[in-house]
Amino acid sequence: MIQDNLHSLELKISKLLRWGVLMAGALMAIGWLSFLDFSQNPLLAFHDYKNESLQQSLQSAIDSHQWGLLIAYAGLTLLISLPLLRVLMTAILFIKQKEKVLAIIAFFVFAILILSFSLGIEL
Amino acid sequence: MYEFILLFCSIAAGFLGSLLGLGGGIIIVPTLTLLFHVNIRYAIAASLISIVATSSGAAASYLKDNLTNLRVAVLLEIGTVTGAITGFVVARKIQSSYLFLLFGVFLFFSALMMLRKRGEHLSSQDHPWSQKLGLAGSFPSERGELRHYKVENVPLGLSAMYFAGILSALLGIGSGIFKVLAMDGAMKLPMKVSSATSNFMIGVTATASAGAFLLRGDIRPEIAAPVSVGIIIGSWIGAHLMVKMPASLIRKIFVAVLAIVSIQMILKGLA
Repeated sequence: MIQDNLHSLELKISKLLRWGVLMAGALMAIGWLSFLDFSQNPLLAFHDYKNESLQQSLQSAIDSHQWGLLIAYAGLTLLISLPLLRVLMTAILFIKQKEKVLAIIAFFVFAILILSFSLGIEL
Repeated sequence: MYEFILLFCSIAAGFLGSLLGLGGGIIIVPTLTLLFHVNIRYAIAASLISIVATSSGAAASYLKDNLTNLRVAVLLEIGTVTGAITGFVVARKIQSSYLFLLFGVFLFFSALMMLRKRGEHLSSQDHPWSQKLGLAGSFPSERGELRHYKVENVPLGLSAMYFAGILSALLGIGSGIFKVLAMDGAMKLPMKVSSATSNFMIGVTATASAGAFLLRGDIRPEIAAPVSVGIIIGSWIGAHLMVKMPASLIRKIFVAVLAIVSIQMILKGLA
């Protein structure tokens, strides 16, 4: 049955993504442990909102050689790219199953996700 | 030290979330704002990333039990993802005090919803969109036999998903409660199918705004890393440990805690 085939292929994608989550989690844990500072409460710095973009944060981390922070950012980026990858793979899966309308819908969802990400740069 | 306390709180949130079938957002945002005095904009962004982590990590287990309706999920993601874009834009414009107020109201509503008893139903009417896309499906009942269902009110469900997407981006939640309401209430999907499909969709919904918040600079690793790592560990423990605790008692205690925290969030919004 087509539905069963679709389901088992999607299950394979999900299992693959689980490894992605573990890798992202490991990167974040390593990064976080390396920039831990016991002498102060780093969360205090986030009491007030600062209008600082990702690009500015990355630049200041590079300038001050905070590699742990950069590793954690890599983990965050990997994590966010996982559902994006899932939608794209699902779309391809629908094409392979010759389900055109659902494939178009999945590609559309992928396009809106990209549009949404771009809003973070624009605003 | 504080960051380790945050890590342990996140492990607890992940554990409790998986035990009660809730996302971590409902616990993480109040913990970060009320306990650690983190700005609510950073708290919402960190919560979204932790939702992406748990949902992506658990998607395989939602598919394994054959309850998730993949076609319904992909179709409804149009609604949640466009809603998330709206939510992100609104979140950028809205004052923090309104976010506290909205979150407080959401918590109160969630507490009420947790007390709701849901009846099982199987729809026999198929909406034309459902016929066209082949959304109807079947799921294994407790006795092992296959139960077939159809899907009603697809446009209404899609509109409700748009609303769920807005709230997800605005409040840093998975919006599972609203997704289930739309599928179970409007589209008449069986309860178990609604819950599994909603959980499956949450990661994609949260990613739409999490990606924008990351590029905007609101997801800070100093907060998001311990929260996400904690939630991943906590939900893993929750899913793998056979917990010998009465779920109904925990649910009742949690409802009371939600009500109290909701009042605190509203008071903070009014202050």
